[in-house]
Order: sequence, then structure tokens, then C-alpha cells
Amino acid sequence: MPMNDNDINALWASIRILGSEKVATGLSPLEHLEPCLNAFGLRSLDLPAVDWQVEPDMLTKEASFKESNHAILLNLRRCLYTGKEMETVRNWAEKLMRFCEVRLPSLRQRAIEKCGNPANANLLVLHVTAFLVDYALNSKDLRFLNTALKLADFNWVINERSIARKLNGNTSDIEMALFQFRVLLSIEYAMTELTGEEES
Amino acid sequence: MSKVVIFSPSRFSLYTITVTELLLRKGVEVQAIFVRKLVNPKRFVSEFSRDGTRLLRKIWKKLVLRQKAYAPANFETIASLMRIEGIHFHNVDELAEAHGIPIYYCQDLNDASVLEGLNTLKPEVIVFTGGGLIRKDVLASAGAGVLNCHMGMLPSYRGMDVVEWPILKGDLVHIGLTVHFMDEGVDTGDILRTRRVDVVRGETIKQLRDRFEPIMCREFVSTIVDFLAKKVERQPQKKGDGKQYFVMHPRLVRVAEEKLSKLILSKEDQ
Repeated sequence: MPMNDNDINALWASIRILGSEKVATGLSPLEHLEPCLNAFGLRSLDLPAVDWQVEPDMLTKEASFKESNHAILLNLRRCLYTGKEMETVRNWAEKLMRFCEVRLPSLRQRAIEKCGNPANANLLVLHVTAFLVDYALNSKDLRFLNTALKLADFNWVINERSIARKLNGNTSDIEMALFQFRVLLSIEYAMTELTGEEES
Repeated sequence: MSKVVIFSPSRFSLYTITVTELLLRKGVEVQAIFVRKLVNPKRFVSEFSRDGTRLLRKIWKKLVLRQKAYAPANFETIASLMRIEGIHFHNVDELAEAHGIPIYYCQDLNDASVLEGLNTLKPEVIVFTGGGLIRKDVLASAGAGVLNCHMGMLPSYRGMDVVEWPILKGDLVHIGLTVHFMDEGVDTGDILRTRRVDVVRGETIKQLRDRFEPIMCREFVSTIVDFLAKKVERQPQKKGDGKQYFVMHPRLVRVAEEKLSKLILSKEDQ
């Protein structure tokens, strides 16, 4: 279901109340979100500036879901923000999109087998979703947004109704909720930017 | 006389019946028809997990409603094409019996029994009217190859929902069909012919898809006949020439539907 402006505003208000120290977590869930925030008229948080260090060595592994991890996916997004290693990023995006599309029905099982537990598996697929949306925005290729929409439909990847509750929870709950909000907001932004979808 | 084998996705396929009958009328000898059996729980589970409720709608349309799925329209559908051409067979068995064509049922078109049959028949070409992916060994036993009519313009639009994708992208000049050889990739085999299909003012995606089917039947048959008469040549595709598309998310389908109506309106306004 598309997120409407009221939901977005309400969640952003709750995030702003948290303050920058709770928001600036290791996963950098709100990194490079300004274009989306601006598009929805949301006031940015005063977060400490992040020096987007790209680690090319990390991307020398074979591009595949099997080899992916949180650090690699964050690194790939940072490549997009800085315009570095773009051919490598394109290769990763193609491979991940294809894997997710072909293995969609068994994706959770495969992610759990890879990550060892459901929580890490959910987070990994959330990372993949965030990367695919950002790649869609960068490349203006709707196929990547298409896959991201399908991943975001999984309740185990993003449970929209639990985001507000999680924002009042412990540190890891907050981090997960912020990341889920980020993906939902960037999907809405990509839908507007790339398809011109109007709110019904 | 040219000899071909037909691959069919089910005994109720209107597409198989129409293409086969039109080929026979053009003097092509159909050596055999290989038909996938309807009941295959493993395939159902696999396709349902991939397509969800789309599969149920497809089964309802193709196996239950059949000709009734096509509402009276001011354009040609496969149902009206069959009426115009006087094709009255209810299933592939009736067609095969009327023409004395052997018919073989299989769980999968890649079964060993199919391969064995092909090695005995040695067809010039296989005409694919649906039935899933075809494996390398079957492709290798198909004479010149397995011919398919793809509902999209190759090499640009490979894969799934290739009627919807160009609409979503505002790329109306790439709505059309392609007759091509199947290979191990997804719609990457040699092209024989492409044909553009223009959108019509006020039509929906479903109507556009319905309108595609009779065009596909005619174009497929005429291209096969031309190929067998050596009047058309294979044009290889380069892998990098096109992109593979996957099933479109319902939210993007809604946007494509809106765009189709707006694009046509703006075309009309000009």
C-alpha cells in the first residue's frame, strides 16, 4: 500500500522527537535522505556530516546475494552517492535484482540460511531493498524500483504499522524502524520522480 | 512438404488450436503435437508461488472461460478470429483427430519421452505455443530450432509483462511482437521478424493484450511459412542489446494503465 502524506508526516514528527544521537546509528539509516525529505516538505535533522568513504576492496567479491552483507550494501549505496565504482555497482544491482525476482518465493528462507537468524535476514533484505531503490533513482531504471516494491510488500521486510511502535522501543528497534521508514519514503519519492504517480 | 512439431501448454489452448490449424491450411505438415498434461501439482505450486493470484486468473480465463473470456469487442480477438476462420475445435485432441496428427501428453515438454519422440520425428522446426522453459537437449533436437512468438519487441523488451513495460516508460514505439528462436537465455535467440502494434484510443491494457493474440497467430504462422520457404533470415541478437523485464508490480501496472489513457489522449489532441 502506498504511504500517504499524513503517515509520512506523523512518522517524521516522531523521528524528529528522538533527537540526533538516537538517530545517528551504525547503520546510518537516514544517510543521504535529503532529496526525499525535501520532496515531501520534511525538515531535515541536524545530523553530523558523514564522510562517505567508499571501500573498493570490499566490492571485489563476486556480485551475488550469497556474497552480500550489510557492509557491502552500505558501501554500494555510498558509491552511488559519490559516483564511484559505478560499473561495479551496476553489476551488483543487476545480480541482486535478478536473484530477488527469480527467488522471490523462497527469499526469506534463503536469507535466513545465509544470515543464521531471522532478524539478520530481515535486515539484509531491507539493505538490498534500500540499495535497489537508490539504484533505481540513480539509473532511472524502473526495473529496480519494481523489485524493491515487491520486497517492501513482504511483512517480514517492512511492517508499516509497527514502525511507530518500534520508534518507542530499544536501540535496535529504533534502528530497524528508521531504516524501514527510509525505504518507504525513498520508494514514495522514486514513484513520484520516476513514474509521475499521482496520489489517488 | 515442410515438417513441424507443435509444443502446446494445454489441450485447451486456443492459441495452439488456431496456430496449428492455420499452419495446416498453409500446407505445412504437422508431424505431432506434444501437450503438457493439465494436472501437475508440482508445477502449480511453483507457478503459484511466483505469480500468486495472477495464476488463478489465468487458469480461470484459459481453462474455464476460454472463448467466453472475450467480451464482444469492436476489434478482433482470438475468439473472433476462430469464428471468422471457421475453426470450431474445442480442444487440441479434436483438431489432432480431425487431421490424423499423433498427439502425445507429457508432464513437461523437457521429458525424456519428448526428446525420444523428437529424435524419431526429426522435425525441421518446433512451433512453441507455450509450456514453460525449454532445456538445451530439447533445443538441440529441434531441427532448425524452437520458434516462439514473443509478446514484445526484441531485443529491447525481453521477459515478462513486455506489453506493460513500454507503456510505463512512455515508449509506445516498442509495443509489438517478435517471432524468434528460443535459446538457453530469456528471449535472446535469433530474431526472424518483429511487428509493431499501435495502441488504439481509449483501450485498456487488457484490451490491448486481447487484440495482440490474433495478430500473434497470423504473424507467427506467416513467419513460420516464410522461414520454411527460406524467405526470411535469422538475425542474431547481442546480449547487451536489450534488457530483461520481470513481472510488473501491481502499483506500477496501475501507473501504466493511467499513462496509456493519458498518452492516447495526448496523441489524439495533437
